[in-house]
Amino acid sequence: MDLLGLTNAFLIESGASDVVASLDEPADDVAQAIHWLDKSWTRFQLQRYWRFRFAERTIAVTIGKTEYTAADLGAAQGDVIIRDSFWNTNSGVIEYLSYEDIRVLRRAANSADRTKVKHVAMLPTNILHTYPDVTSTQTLSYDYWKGVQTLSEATDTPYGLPEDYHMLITHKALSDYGALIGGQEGQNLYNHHGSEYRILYNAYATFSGEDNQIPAIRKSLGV
Amino acid sequence: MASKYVPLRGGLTLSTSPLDVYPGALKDSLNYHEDTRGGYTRIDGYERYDGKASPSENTYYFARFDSWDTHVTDILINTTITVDSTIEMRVVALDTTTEADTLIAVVCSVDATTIPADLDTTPLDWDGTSSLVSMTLRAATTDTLDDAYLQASWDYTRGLISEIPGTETPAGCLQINDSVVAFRTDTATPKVYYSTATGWTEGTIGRVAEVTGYTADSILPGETIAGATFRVAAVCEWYDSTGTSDVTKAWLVLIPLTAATAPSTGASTASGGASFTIASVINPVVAWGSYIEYELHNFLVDPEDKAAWFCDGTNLAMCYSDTYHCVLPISANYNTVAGTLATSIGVLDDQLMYATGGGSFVISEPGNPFNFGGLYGAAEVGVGALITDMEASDGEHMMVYSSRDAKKLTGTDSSNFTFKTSGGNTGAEARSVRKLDDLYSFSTRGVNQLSRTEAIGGYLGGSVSVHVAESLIGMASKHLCSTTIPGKEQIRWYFSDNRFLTMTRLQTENGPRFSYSFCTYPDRPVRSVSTTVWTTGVERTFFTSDDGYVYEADKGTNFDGATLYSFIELHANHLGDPGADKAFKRVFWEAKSDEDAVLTLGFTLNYGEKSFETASIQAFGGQYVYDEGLYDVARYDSSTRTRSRALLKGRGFAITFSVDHTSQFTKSFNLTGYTIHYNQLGRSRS
Repeated sequence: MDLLGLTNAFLIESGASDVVASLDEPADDVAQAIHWLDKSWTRFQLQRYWRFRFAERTIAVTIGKTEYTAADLGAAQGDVIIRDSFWNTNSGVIEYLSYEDIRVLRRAANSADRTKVKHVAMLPTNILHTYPDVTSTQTLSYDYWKGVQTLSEATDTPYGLPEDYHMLITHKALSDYGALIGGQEGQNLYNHHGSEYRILYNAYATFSGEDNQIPAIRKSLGV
Repeated sequence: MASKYVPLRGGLTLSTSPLDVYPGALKDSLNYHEDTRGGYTRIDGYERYDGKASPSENTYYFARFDSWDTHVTDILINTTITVDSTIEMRVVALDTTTEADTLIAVVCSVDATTIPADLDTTPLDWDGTSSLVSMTLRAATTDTLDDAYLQASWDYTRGLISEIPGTETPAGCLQINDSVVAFRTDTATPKVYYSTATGWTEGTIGRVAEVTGYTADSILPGETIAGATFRVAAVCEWYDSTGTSDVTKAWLVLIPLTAATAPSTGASTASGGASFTIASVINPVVAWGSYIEYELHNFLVDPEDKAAWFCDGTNLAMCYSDTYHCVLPISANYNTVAGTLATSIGVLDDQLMYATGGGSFVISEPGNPFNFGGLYGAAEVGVGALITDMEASDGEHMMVYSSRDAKKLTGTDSSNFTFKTSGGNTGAEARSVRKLDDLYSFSTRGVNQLSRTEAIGGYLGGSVSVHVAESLIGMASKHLCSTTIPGKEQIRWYFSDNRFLTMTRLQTENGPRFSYSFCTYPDRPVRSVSTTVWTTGVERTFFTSDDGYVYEADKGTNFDGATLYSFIELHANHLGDPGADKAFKRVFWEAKSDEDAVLTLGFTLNYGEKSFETASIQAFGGQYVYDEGLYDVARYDSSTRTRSRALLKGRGFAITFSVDHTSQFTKSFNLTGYTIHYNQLGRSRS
């Protein structure tokens, strides 16, 4: 279901408004529904390092440059880079150090082997430091958890989560709605849709075997 | 879940604050009025009239002819046939495919009393082979077909009804003795017609003969003259230019008894034996004016029986005798009729009174509406302002209105008349004063009431339309005419913008309450109107408009064939708790209806801030009682109260309902109230 479908599911379940044909210039109830749906999807994505958030990327480490910003890395806001997943495609294993350890090495100005990247460190907001300054361009590969997808356009569809489970987004949003409107009906909506959400959530999170969405994080170092 | 019932009442209410206003009152409406039995009733339609069969009363039948595969004589569409010299019918549609070897002719204009009860066992022969075996009332299998056949029947009957003959806009119409009398000028000649079962029949315009060589009291009303070709309706004084009576002369008001319009001048005799000379004959009635206002009264003098005493704003006062179908001119002095006119007319205590078009009104001798001798009690009274209307409030008082006030005439004749102001600010537009026990008038101030009281002065005046005042601004100058519909406890004021204001008076334990609403006849301004109860007990209202037809109001389900559109919009309902949101779940609309009516329900929340798709609700026509059985068909058409459900959505602190309806076929229905189901939510954020 795209955002339009989620919104209409919300409107039908809540009876807050007629279903809508588009999300252009939404009236207040519809705007609230869209907001709650987006918030609900965000919260769901942030609950865990869901399997569908896992991704790989490479970065070219060039001569004379040892600090790479999130923009250099191509990392989006909210992407979580897995520190010990770095791999030098030219030479293999890279050992992850803390920034302070790399700084010690740099200050020591050792006559390191500059043909390959030996160590990397990550600073908050996805700033990458490499050591040593290489003499030829090296390509590093690494893994990361994608940041959250926002829903704003009618055609935006929650990625990764199978369509069968999309209603959990709506149920979560409806419990928000219940909390807002208050009264006995608000209480009922909150309780009912909260449990509907939890049922779908649990079903999704406890897939068995390899599909289990509780991520098994494996260190790439020392395999 | 909470629920609340809201009975619909109150009519248009525009001045009460939004939180205080009763939610069953109207914010706006068209073609509804509040009913004395509760709720809001959609008005009926109107249809043209000339005395012939009513279009809306026509209906269709399925006439089945058997053995049609071998029939000899065809039945053709749009022809009138008579089966076996027994039943006459008009064919509007044919169907030979639905039933094998059978022709189903859809026919209308059938006299139900001519249908034999034993058609199934004793068919009526059509052509020696085929026979009429059944007649089934309104047997179409779908609503669409039912509508189409009804429309064909109505269109046929409507096409048979004629305009009033003539060329100009009709002056108006009046009703007397179960007949409608219409006035229309043909080129420059005023003509009068009365309705009969075969359509309009022309009446006559009487003449006034100047008689010399006359002996006082030698001719009496009721005698005939000129070889019984004219009947004397009245014998009137002959005054010279100084106003002195000449007893050797007289004016005779004459009713033609033959085709001759006027007697020859010269020597003549009366049936009572008198001999005299007809010196001249005058016809004071010229082309009709722009309205007809009348009073029915039997003065127990000639013309015999009840007559209509009327004026048209252009001619002098007149009398229409239904006995002779004749219009007779009335003047205080037939020597000076040129330019005299009557603008308003009334009868008090057996005296005819008419306004002169200036600041005075004339009162006839008691019991002698054609005679105006001061010695016998006649008078002319100056008012000091242009008279807009006059109406007897009871047996003792004639109320005379100007645009700004009302005065009352008390007394029995010129010897004891007194004339005093009784409503200093209770004015009236022309022809806007109506009696519904008390007197009501329409002026720039809105609707004014003048009611009798025990207090000094005897009358209480005041505006009774303050709650709708803002909708009446500017309406006074558009006022055309008005009528009282006692059966509905209602007065209607008609305006030139095709609308009319209805005021229904409802009795409550706190005294009368007035309920207003607006209706409209699209493109059909009501220029002259008349309401009377016929001897059948039915109250009938007829009017004329810009075209040549006379129309009957409150008749049928459409506007002379055109669609009838109606709506009500109620005031917002905060359910007694404007600070809290509610989740609206469903509403049950309660209605009374003779036939099914499908209505469109609209609703908005928070004073229109949130609007929703409309829903459909129904007023079901009496689904419980079979009240008419005909052959093998039972029809459900008794009146009952029904509930129809619609789902609601949304949350808000107040909900507003509107009901729309458009149809040519739906009978009047009555919306009585709604029950709303809702859940209470938290504090309103709006």
